Amino acid sequence: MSENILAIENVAARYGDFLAVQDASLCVPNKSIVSIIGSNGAGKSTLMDCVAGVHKPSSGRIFFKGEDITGLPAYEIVRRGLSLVPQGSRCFVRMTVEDNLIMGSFPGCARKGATSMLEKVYELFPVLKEKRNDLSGSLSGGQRQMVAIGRSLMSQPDLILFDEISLGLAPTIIKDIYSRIRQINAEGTSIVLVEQDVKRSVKTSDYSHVMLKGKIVLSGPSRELTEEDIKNAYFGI
Amino acid sequence: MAQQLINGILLGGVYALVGVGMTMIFGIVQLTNLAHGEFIILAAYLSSVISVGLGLSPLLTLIITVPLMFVIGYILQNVLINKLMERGSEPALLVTFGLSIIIQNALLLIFSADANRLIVSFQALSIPLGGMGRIPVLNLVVCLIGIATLFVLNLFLKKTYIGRSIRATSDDKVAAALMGVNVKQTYGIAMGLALATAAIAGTMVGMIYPFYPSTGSGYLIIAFGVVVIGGMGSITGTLVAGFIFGLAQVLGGSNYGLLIGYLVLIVMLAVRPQGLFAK
Amino acid sequence: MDTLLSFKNVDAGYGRVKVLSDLNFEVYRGEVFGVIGPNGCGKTTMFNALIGLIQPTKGEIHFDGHNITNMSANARCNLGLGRTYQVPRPFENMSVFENVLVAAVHGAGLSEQAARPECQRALEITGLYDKHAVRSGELTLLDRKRLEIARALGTAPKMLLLDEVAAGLTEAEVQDVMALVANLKAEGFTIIWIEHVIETMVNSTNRLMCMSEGTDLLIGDPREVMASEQVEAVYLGVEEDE
Repeated sequence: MSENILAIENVAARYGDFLAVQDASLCVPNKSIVSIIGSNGAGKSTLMDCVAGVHKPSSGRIFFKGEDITGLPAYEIVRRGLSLVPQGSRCFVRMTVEDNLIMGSFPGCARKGATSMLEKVYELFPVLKEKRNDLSGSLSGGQRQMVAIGRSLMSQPDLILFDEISLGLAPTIIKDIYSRIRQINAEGTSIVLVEQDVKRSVKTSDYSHVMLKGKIVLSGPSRELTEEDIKNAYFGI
Repeated sequence: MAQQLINGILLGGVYALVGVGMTMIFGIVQLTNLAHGEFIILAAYLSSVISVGLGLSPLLTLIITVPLMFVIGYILQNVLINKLMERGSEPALLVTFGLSIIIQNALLLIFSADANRLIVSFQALSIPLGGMGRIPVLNLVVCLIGIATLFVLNLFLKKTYIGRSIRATSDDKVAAALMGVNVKQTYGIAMGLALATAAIAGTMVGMIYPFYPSTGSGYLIIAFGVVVIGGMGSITGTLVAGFIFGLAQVLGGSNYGLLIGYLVLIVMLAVRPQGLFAK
Repeated sequence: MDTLLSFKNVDAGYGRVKVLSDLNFEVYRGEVFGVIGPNGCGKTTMFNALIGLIQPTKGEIHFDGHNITNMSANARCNLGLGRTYQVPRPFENMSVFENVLVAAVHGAGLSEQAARPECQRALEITGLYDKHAVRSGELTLLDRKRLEIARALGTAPKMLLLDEVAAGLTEAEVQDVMALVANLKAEGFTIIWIEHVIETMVNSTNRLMCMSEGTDLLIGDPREVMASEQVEAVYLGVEEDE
């Protein structure tokens, strides 16, 4: 396996003639946490949708574990071990918490270990075990994010993309979810954090990239980026 | 009165079966399958041909018609409807309307407009209930098969990976794709299942009522009623809706049956348009 | 300063969800007033309250000497509030000119005869005159955004509301939009402009309001607003101890 688990090369993406991502390139080193930050509308979510196969890039290449996955359908990409936790959790609201989690193990390769994985998810988020038979639509925003994370873990991915995981959540819950994410990373899963909550995600990550108007405008190891650099890149001034 | 209640309840199980395929396609594929009634009648004719040809009881023909209709549904969805749906829901809706006309006329061409009926050995048997009337064995069997089909389908949707993927797709197809579900293929499976239920429904209604190539539209209307009253995606709702519709129709007799059924429908649409059991 | 628009202690939301809480700001005649704020801060709700899609539950909105707090969207449009949509929605099968004409006849209540010169002017200001006969479905995104503004101009507004007009455009196209806004300002229009691209806002507005949690966090000179620690905290989050 190559050193980078994910490599995005000159990706552009459009909705009709609306240019959402102009020219984005970045790498995710194996077993690292990488954050992509930027204001609303900077193109972060579209870029993640391109990587996960939800949206087709109009140009550029995306490599996962050394293989070209550009333009593959989403169901094929998750089978290869790349999972996206989408913005707003997108739980299956008319299904129970446990059914949501089991759906995560839908890829053939993930079904075998599903039972033990389910126990692991319940260990990580004990509240989900309590609510296993509740419809996910009845949960709070934070609990739904936990379901979404757990569901993603069930596919036993090598890389998880988190799209705006902290959006709309209370600070204590965000803190809790972030500590779980670090835990997931410590067990060997590579992580991409797409965030508007800049300080927290930079602090959590090994590498950071700032996106502005569809381009990556600043990249570097998180501890080497100064607050001033990040602020200027973030606002573009 | 007691006899009518019995008849109505027994009819309900079949009506639920007539409606469940329509409900599934409505809820999962988000398509109104205007050919659903014709598929039911097509299955009744298939059953008749196989039953006569092989000398089988109509009930045993299900072994052939159910898988056959599943395959027809799966292929239809994958080859035709999925592609049309990329261009919006109207073209697909029109094509199901076209299919209903094609099936109806093909049946007319092959079988003429004469009435047909599936005959079983226990046709005339009934169980006396003291002074309360009688339970016709045929209607009882048909009702139980209807309920059993819904029960098995429900179990399949709740407990298997494919069943869960169907429910997940109907909740949020993008999220389902992110879980590894091939959404278009899932639509195909859903259509296959819907036509498999239509196959059973066809044989059931063919045993209790005479049918012609043009009877399909009547069953489409019943299916619509079941969708509206039961709400989408709820098997319990479908069953209860079937009973309500069956009772309403029997209590109204041959003159007012449909009328009462539709009054119930209108009241439902006005008071609770999401259906009795929608969540 | 001559105040054209003012929000006074406005609360508003959807059903039980309160989005705006105690929002206060004034827009002066002839200025470009920028509105920024992180996702969910209430910018769009403010817009909706301003054009009359939702009614405030508390407070007052005044425009050009009228209390418009409980006025319908149509009445506001007739008073001179012209809005553009984030996603342009022209009548695709009509020509550019016809699109503006429809807006002028229905929005400003002009006769077709009287509306024609207005429309021509609107197309000149927005730089679309050469394309007046083109079917609007064939326009590029930038030109559709120009058309959106021309349609708003067709209603003879005193104030223009621009919602994310720079979104989805290339660098060069954003420059064109900035030039267009400068042109509108020179023509004497007052402008409220919501945009995510901070750089654009700093360079093309007279004053900037940063919203946070439904209220006005800071209003003032764009550069000073962007330099403030409060605004930085809203966008970048606050350092916290583990």
